Amino acid sequence: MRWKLKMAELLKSEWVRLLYIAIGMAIVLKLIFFNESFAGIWRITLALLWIAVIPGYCMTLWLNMRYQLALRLIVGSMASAAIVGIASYYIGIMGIDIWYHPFLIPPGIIAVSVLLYARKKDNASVKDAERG
Amino acid sequence: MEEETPREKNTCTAIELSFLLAIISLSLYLGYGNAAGHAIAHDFPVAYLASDAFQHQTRAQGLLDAGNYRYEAFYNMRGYPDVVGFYMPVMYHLTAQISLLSGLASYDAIQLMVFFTVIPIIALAYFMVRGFNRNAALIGLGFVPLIFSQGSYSGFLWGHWPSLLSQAFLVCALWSFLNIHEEGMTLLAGLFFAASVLTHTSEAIFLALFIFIYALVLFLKKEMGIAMIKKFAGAFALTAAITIYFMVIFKTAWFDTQGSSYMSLRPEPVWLGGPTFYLQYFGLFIPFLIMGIVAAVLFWKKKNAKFLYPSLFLLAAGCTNYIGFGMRAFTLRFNWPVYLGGLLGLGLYLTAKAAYRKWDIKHSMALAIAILIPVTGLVSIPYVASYQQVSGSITDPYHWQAYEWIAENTPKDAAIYFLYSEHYEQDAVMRNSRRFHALATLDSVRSAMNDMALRRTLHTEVPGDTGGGLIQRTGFMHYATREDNRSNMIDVCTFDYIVVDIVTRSDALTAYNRLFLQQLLKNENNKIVLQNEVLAIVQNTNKSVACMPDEVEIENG
Repeated sequence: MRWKLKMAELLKSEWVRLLYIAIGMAIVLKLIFFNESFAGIWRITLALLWIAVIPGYCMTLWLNMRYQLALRLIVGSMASAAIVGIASYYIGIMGIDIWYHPFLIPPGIIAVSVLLYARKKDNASVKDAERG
Repeated sequence: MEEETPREKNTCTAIELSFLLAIISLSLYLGYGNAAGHAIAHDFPVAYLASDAFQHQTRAQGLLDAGNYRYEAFYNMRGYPDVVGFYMPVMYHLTAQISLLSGLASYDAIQLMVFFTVIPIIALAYFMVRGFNRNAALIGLGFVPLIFSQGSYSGFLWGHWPSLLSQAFLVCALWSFLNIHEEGMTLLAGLFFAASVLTHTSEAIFLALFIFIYALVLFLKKEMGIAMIKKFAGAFALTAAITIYFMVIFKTAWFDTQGSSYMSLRPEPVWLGGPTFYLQYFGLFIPFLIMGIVAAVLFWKKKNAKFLYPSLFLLAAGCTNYIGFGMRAFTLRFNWPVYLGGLLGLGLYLTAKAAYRKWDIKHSMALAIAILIPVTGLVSIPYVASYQQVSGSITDPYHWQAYEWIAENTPKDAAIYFLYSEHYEQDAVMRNSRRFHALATLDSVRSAMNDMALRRTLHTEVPGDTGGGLIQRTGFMHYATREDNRSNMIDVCTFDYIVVDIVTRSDALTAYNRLFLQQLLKNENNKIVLQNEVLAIVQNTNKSVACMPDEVEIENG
C-alpha cells in the first residue's frame, strides 16, 4: 500500500499547486476580459477546470507521465477535452441527454483514472513483494 | 549545437514558464480580448465576421436543443428533421458542455473554446522546439501574436473553427507520436488522432501523412523496431475503433459528395476563399527562416532533432496548395506564426550565437521581446506583418432581438420569411430564428424594384447547411443522400411570419421594404408582433387567404 502514501504525498503537493493554478487562471482571465464580471470569470474557470484540467491531470497520473506539471496539465487537458467531446457524441446517440454529460463524463474520467492508477500501483507492489 | 541534458529537456524553469504564460496571455488579450470587447459573455454574437461562424454556432445550438447529435437541427437543414448529424461532432459537444456548465450562450461558448485552442498549440509547439533547443523556442515565441495578424485572424473571425480545434489535437498528436516510446503515449497518440478525425478530418489526413514520414525516418535511423511498430499499430487501432461509426457517415456525407474536391491536383498559389498567412508576411525575417529550415534539415539525424520535424512538416503541409490541397493547406497556415516560430528562432539564434558566443536564454528572451514590438503593432516596421485590431460583428442587437423573439415566441413549425436585406447575405445567421426560414433573393427584389411593383410571389431561396448532402439513414450503418432543391418562386403569404428590414444600407431598398411593410399592414390578418429601429416582424394570422395582392404598382414619388 506504499503507493497510497505516495499518491497522497503527490496529491498533497500537486493539488496545492493546482489550486494556485486555478486562482492564477481566474486572475489572468480577469486581466484579459476585464469587462467580464467576477462571477462570470469564476464560472468559466470552474467549467474549464471541471471539463478539462482536473480530469486531464488525473489521466496523466494514471499514464505515469514523467513531465513537469505544466506540460502534463496542457496535454492532460487536451486529452480530457478529446474524451469529453468523443464520449459525449456517442452517449448522446445512445440516448443520454447532453444535459447530463458534464456530470457523467469528467467524473467518469477521474474515477477510471484513479482506479487504473490504483490497480497499476497494486500490481507493481505485488511484483515488488514477489521479488522480495 | 549545444545539446541539453534530459532533465533540462523535460523541465522548464519558472522564468521560462512565466515568459510562455505571458506570451499566451498577450496573444489572447490582443486576439480575443480586443475583438470581444474584453468580455466573454455578450448580449449577441460579437466578432462573428462571416456566415461560417454562425454555421458552427447554430449547429452547437441545435445539439443543445435536441440533447444529442443523432440528427441535424431542422432549422439548419432547410426544414428537414431527419438529416443525420454529418459534421465532425467533437467541437459541438465540447461547446455544449462548456455552455451548460458556465452558463454562456452557445455563441460565446464556442468562441471561447476556439480562441483557447491557441493555448495548447503555443505551449506544445514551444515544448517541442525546446526539446531541441531552448533558445530557438524562446525566440520563436516573439512571432506568436502574428496568428492575429491580417492573414491569420480570419481563421478565428470567419469561422474556420473546426480546423483550428483540429489543429490543436493535431499538435497534441504530433507531440505524442514523437514521444511514443514512453509509457502511456500509445493511448494518447491514438486518442488525439481520433479527436482530430472527429473535429475536422482534413487535419487528420495531414497527421497520417506525418506519421508515415516519421515512421520512414525512424526506419532510416534504424530506430523502428518491433516494439515501436506495435506502439504505432496500437495507436492506429485505437483511432480506428473510436472513429469507425462516424466514418461511415462521413463517407456518405463528405467523401461521396465532395471527395474529389479534397485534392484537385490544381496548384492554387493564392487562396480565393479568404485571407490566410503567406511566407512573405515574415518580411525581413525570411532569411532567418530559411536559415532555420536549412539548419533543421542538416541536423535531422542529431539527437532530439525529431522535435523540429513537426515545424518542417507543417511548413511543407501548408505549401501543399501548390500540389492541389488548396483550402486544406491554406487553413493550416493560420497557425504558421506558431508552427514556424521555432525555425525562425533557430535561424536567429544561430546568427546571434555566431556573433556573440556568450548568448544565453536571457538574451533570447530579450530578442523575443524586441520582435514583439513590431509584431504587436507597437511600432510599425516596413515589411514586417503585425497584429491588426478588429472589432464588430455581422449581426447587431436589433436583428438578434428578432431571432431571439422568433425562437422564443413562435410555434416550432412556424415558417419565417425574410424579405431581402444585405444583413441576410451571410445566411447562416438566420438559423438563429430556430425555425424553418426562407429568404427573398436580391435578384427578385431588384427586379420588382425596377418594375416599380410590390410582388407577393418572389424568387426565394431556402438556405441551409447542405454541404454534407442532407443524408438520411436507410438502415443500420447505411445512409443515402437526398436530392433537394427548395429554391423557387414562393408565395410570401404561405409563411406565418414575415421579417422586413426597414433600415438597410441602400436607400432604395429601405424605401421598397417600407412600402412592402405598409402593403402588408393594409390587410387586417397581418399584424406587427415586433418592431425595433431596424426591422419589423409581421404575423400572417390567416394563411388560407391572400395576405396581399399578387402585384401592386408603386406610384412615383
